[in-house]
Amino acid sequence: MLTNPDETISADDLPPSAADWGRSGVSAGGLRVAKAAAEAYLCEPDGAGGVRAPSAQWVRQIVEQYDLSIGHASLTVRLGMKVILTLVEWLPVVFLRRWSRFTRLPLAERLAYLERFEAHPHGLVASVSYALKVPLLIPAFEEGEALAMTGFDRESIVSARRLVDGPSAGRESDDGAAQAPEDPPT
Amino acid sequence: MSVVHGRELKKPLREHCDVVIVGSGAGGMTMAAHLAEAGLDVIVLEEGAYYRSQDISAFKPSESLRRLFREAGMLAALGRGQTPTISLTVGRAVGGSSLLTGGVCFRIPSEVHHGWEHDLGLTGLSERSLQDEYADVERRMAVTRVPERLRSESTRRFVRGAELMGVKMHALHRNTGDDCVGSAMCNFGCPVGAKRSVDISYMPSALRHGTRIVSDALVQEIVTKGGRAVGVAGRLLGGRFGKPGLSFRVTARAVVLSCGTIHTPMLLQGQGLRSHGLGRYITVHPCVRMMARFKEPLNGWDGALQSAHTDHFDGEGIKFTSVYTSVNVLAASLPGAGPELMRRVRDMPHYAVFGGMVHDGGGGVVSRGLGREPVLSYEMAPRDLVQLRRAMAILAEMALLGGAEEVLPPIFGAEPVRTKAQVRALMDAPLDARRIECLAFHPLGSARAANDPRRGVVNQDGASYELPGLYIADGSILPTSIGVNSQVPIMTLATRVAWRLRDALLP
Repeated sequence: MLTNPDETISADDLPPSAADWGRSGVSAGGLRVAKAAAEAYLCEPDGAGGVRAPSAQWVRQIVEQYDLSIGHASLTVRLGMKVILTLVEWLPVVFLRRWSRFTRLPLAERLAYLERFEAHPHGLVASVSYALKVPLLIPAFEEGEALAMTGFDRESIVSARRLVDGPSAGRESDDGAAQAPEDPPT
Repeated sequence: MSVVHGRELKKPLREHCDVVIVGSGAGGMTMAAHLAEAGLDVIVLEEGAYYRSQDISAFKPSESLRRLFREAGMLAALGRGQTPTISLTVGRAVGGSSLLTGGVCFRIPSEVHHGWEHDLGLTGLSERSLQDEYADVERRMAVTRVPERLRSESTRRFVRGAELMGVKMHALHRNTGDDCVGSAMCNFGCPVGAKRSVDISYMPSALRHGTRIVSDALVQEIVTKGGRAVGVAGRLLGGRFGKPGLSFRVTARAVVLSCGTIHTPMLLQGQGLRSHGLGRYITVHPCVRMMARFKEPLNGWDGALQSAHTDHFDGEGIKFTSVYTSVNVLAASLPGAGPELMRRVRDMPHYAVFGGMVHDGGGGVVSRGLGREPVLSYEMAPRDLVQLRRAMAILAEMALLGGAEEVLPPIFGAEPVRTKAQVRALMDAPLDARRIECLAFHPLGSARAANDPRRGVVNQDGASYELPGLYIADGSILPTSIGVNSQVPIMTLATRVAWRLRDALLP
């Protein structure tokens, strides 16, 4: 009989597996690059002509989420991301003519470096920047003050739109299987 | 009967049934429901996990990406030559990619059907032949026209610009019945469960009729006996870290592959099948998304994710549809860094978005990757690249006519454009195509149907030419690019395959 055991545990509570990739995906060195990049992407003017870094807690949350996301991808993507992070770490010598790792640059120089990376006329180079930026920043504006910064005016990112006379929502049965109407309108 | 979490099973799985289906997306779940309703014993094996629809509704976008999207949303078609890297959306969960659509429902255009019937000799796939299948899919999915009141202000601005260009926009049809409230979150999980993805529209009936669905089940092999497909084998995901998962083996009278355009050919090639075109000539419908800034706030997230389209440019092979997505995802893809990026993020209420899609020629090839995941590479035909650039120019013009102050071209490093002359200059300038920010949502055609074994992988009924007992029911069997969203077409063809298989298996 094909059923789960009576005493089941939630799939989310099970330890991650080598087969389904649910684990940390970025090395410690890679995470340092991601952190340095997140700080530069999200820095703000400091009022004195320079820039100031975003809060350490915000950056830490972003990098944790990024690590988790890469960990859910396959070996191919994980290796691809490793190459991208390595390139970002070592290419200041090309873009800034500075013999320094990206993670050791001051914030303003990291910002200038990422801007040049993204605007590079060679498409492959620019797309490397994009491949780092988007997965890194998707969790950045997802909740709390950062979400509010976007002007999004619902309680949370998963809240339904508020309507004065909205139709009723979800049609769930007791066992959780959503019910399709027998004769849906056409 | 409910879905079995394969990772929670404690011993290897050995089962027998009438039909085993690999994959639970638009093709697989459609097959399962029809065959089970006919009284056949069906098992569905899905590599991804199972989440109930109310769980999916509560996922933040980054959680959706990790749990529901293949490669955590980072799947891409690698561009060959003058071709951008194309970000691909493909599902990996019970419900497959149907969980991730914007809900748009199109029938295959008449001229495409005409080509299948008259150029390829596929009379069984003519528009007239598939009328009943279309009607069945649209009824089950509650396909309805998106009412005017659900158009977001983002969409309205582009529609206004289009009308000033003499381009007429029409309401889209979507699979939300009358339940959509316009939360613009369809592709990460509808907050009110309005979208009839297959876990809502087909799975309840499949389960009621006895279908057994096992999640976390990675099929690695088609079991054959005497030159005939008689089952599948693989391993269950989960278990202790670093340990191989438990094995499973399901034998059946018929085996159906519904793993999708990228994974179906991998499984077939692994079996040594070499049918013509297997894993080649893949179309993806390359898309661009244009963001435009308006003076006043639009709050584009209030409204249906997709609500309007035009067929004005269909003759050129370009389709324009309104689109929006989760605000944090849009913010992450804004150009710039630091203060420039943050300024744009704070301006998000002022941005409108619209999309353009190219009816492409089929330059995709799927091959084995480093691990178990295949790699899709894609070479864009010169004509398709021209159409993609033309789509960008038309979208930019639409936005400016609609009152946009500036338009952000989907080109890495490009400056915003503010006038029609700037649009023309940008589009006429030499451009490395790999700088285009390109997306795709409809990989199709890696195991095409044909009326001759020398020209395709399956016949019009989805039956493999090379391996008796094996059927395919997913986007891979579409004989050509279709130029419209692929959910209804896939389900329609799957319905046909299901009805033919039912008739073949039942006395």
